Amino acid sequence: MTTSESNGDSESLKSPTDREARLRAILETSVEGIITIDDRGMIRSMNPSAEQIFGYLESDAIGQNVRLLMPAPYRDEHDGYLKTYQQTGEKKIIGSGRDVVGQRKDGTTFPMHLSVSEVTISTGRIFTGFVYDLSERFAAEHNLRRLAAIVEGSYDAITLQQFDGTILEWNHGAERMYGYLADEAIGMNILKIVPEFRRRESQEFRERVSRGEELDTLDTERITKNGRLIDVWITATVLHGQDGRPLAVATTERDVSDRKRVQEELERRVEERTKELREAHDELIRKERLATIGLLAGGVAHEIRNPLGVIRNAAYFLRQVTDQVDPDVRESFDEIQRALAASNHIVGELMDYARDPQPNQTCFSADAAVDNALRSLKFESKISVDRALQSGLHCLGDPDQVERILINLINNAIQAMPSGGTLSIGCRSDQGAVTIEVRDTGVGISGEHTSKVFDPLFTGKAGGIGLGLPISKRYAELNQGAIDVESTLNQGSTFRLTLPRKIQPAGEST
Amino acid sequence: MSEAPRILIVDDEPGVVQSLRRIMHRLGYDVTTAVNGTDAIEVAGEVKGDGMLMDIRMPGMNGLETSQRTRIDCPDAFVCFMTCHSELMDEAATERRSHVLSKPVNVELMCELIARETARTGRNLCEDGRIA
Repeated sequence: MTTSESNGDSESLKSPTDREARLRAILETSVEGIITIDDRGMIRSMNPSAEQIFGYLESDAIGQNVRLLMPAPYRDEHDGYLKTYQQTGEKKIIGSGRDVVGQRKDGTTFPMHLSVSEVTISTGRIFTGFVYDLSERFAAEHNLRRLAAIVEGSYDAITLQQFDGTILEWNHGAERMYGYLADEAIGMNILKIVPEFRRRESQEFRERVSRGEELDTLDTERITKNGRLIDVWITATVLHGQDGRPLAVATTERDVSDRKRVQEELERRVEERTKELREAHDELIRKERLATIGLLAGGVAHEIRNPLGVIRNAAYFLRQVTDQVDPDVRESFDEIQRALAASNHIVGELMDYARDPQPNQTCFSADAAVDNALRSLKFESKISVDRALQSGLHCLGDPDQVERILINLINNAIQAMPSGGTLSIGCRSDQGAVTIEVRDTGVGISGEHTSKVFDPLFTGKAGGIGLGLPISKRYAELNQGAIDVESTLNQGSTFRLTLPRKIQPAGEST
Repeated sequence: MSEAPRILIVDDEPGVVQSLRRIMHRLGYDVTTAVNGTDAIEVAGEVKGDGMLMDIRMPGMNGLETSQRTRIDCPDAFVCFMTCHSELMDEAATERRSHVLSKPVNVELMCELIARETARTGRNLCEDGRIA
């Protein structure tokens, strides 16, 4: 080429050699495969792109029928097309383009776009085919279709959202999960499915995603179209434009309600079981402790009785032989006597606690037991006693032990009212049982202590060693009964003793 | 009254024996002591007591058996059993001329009992059992 194109002079275009050179250059460098055939279908030329597309060298192809480049069944039909066109002018492809299938030298086929133009030259008609290999595009499209199918068919909700929350895409999984059809959802703001109390979290999440923070998943809740709250697990990815700017957020959202429920159920059960085990363990420790205390109590009580007896004897002797006119001496003996009585009481409690007296089961009347207990105690005038006893209630149990329980409970009530108050005592029938209630208006028991009052050695009182209530509880249990307490600090306590009721056969006198 | 009533005190705890002995002696009784069942039987054979103050729970022979065997020699003797809780308490209570007092013994009550028992046989020192 002698003429420079950069000159841009129109003269060069006029030179036939230059034109031919230019055309050839175009042919040689075109990315489209360009093939010319004559009116009999014989290949006349093939540019390098066509060579590459079909795998034939131009020199091999020239003179061969263009059918060579087509797979069956088109291969056999091509001659017919040409003939029909020449006879009738009916165009199948000439002047237009369409996607067809080509065949390479190695026999493989591929999609291609073919457009054909017809040129009449001095030697007759030639047809020029422009071929564009669609393999890659098809592969890409196939890939896209496959991805789209995956997205569409996913059971997870897959969405695309603008940074302001406007929904751009909404797959079938999202329709199923949230109840909104794609038509409804697209254009809607995602906040519509975010419950009020999760909005802040949701917005922060989106902001963090949009800032490009490494993310991340979010365990949150969503609200469906019909108002159901579901637990979802969300992963989010930012989609960027070609310029690198973030465009939108793609999310995959999974309904984990069931999983969460199962997990919560499992956790609940584990917790429950742990609690049971802990309670069983505590109960075992408590029982062991009680047994140890019982053994110790019995041993101590037994051992201390003799020295106490000696003191008592010695004090008695001294009092008998000493001049008792001196008030100090008399007072001293009284002190010894009181101390002995107190010690004796403690020893008695310890002994009672240490042994398991088998109840002497008989039938006795509840109000009589209460009256007996009341009679055996002295009440100061600052304590008013309020009796509300239903008569004719018969219990089964050991009346001595029950009276002992009642004495303990009443004593307890009296001690809870150091500055006076009302002791209410009542009995009533209660679903096949008899309930005896001892209520005081005293100091009460603080909440954390109510469960401990029946434990040995727990005492809020200055005197005593706190075995009265444990003994009462044990006696109640020995008599197939139960004892419990309700209390409010500074208002008073109510102890309830429940015993099995003996239903008197008709006609038998109570 | 020819001679003072004879009281046999049996307890494995020397302190108890001594403190009771002192009271009984002061009251005027003729007191003999023993610290176990075997000793008690042996002593009882010699002194033929009018009454016994008997601990129930003792090493070796218990108080109940001791009293029963002692009574071979002095069948009319009364017995005051002294005990902490014991499963033998009920059985002891059914013994003839017996009383069961729980430890620590109310000594005043015991003295009254002894006075009453000795009065029944006309061998009492005083009506109320108090130290004069």
